Amino acid sequence: MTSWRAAEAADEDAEHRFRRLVHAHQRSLLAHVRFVYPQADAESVVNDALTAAWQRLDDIDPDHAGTWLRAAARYVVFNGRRGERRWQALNDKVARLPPLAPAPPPDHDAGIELRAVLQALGSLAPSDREVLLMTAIDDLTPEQLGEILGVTAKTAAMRVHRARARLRKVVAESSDSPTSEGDG
Amino acid sequence: MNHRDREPGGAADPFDVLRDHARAVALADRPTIDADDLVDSILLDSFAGRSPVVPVSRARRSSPMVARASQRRRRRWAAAAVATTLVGGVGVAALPRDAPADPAGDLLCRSAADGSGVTIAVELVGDPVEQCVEWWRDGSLPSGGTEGPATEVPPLLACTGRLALVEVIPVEDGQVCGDFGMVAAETNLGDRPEVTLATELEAFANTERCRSVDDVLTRAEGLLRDLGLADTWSIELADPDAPCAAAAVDPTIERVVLRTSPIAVP
Repeated sequence: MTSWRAAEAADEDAEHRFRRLVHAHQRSLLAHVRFVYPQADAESVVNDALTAAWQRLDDIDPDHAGTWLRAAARYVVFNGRRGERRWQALNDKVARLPPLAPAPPPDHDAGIELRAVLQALGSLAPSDREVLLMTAIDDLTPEQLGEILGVTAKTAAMRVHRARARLRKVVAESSDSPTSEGDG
Repeated sequence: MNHRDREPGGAADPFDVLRDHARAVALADRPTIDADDLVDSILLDSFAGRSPVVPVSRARRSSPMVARASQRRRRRWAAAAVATTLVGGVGVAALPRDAPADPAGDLLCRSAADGSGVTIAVELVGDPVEQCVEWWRDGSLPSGGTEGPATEVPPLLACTGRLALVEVIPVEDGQVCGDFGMVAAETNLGDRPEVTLATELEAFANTERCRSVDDVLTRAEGLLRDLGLADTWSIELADPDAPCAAAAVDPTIERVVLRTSPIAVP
């Protein structure tokens, strides 16, 4: 095979690998971005993350493609925020977290309703919210979460542990509060 | 992190409520863009130099992510884009999102000669420089990085490049198309046989209908013969075993390339 043919074959292989990657991750990545960053243009973020993946295809370990893409999407979201100088405004917006989707009927016999959880989530720090939403939408191991956040697995696990504890605390305080009565 | 915690007394953890909700959302969520269409769009965007630069500084142990489409990939997609840009069709995907994309665009008005900045693709209907001057005058092409109508249109040059029949670029005194890897454009394009070749061949091959390599090859050979190009042009079979073939016409090297169709379904 000539070097030219070899180059063409390599191109074909790259395109094939990229197509498989998009088929495998497009939908879950879109769901991840929509859920974790509801204020972002999710399809645009996914497009940019996948474009980055195409540019760095040879550097992506197929076993870590999912976390790689989520890290890239996170960068796109945060970079866009900084670029538009709306970071603080978006934080404020996230703090008033709107419903993420039509809430399903409550089926938790413990009496914890989604609305209460979302309200509690909105009162948490953005970093807590982010790890909770990430781990809620995807079953991430500490190692995977660490890859996305750029921290060690131990640090990632600790962040999740603390965020979940804070969420429990806020929900509990909310349910004990007289103002929450009648909310359902 | 996928185990369920239980509150004392057996109550569900709020996080579990959140996770159930997330799964319901994920199940109901569907991309509006087909995966294969997305791939084709990204590949063409990448070739057109419109890819965003997306560094990931911490999330990946390797070096920052930068736009570096390989030359091989550029070369390969160049051929595809020539054909699609010549006669429209999926060529629109190679255009910047913010440009008034005209699917029949065969004229690129660029705000920078190196392809950075803003590119507007339109149908070539007259003098290409005059057409692009209008885009400069209305501020669509930013001058010197400033927004709004340009107070002064820079000297423009019409060149024939690999992306389109004609690219009109801003130049400084003394610069010629060759400085940017292009040749001076012929502005009377209507009678050029390669235009007819690209138009006819793409209309035949580059559709959602699956055409075999043999069928496209026969068509390409016939067109080259009829248009008097058979002696100088060549046909390259990039993917002889492709189930469905697409054709790319590259006038800069006088070659027709047949490769796997990115859009046809066998």
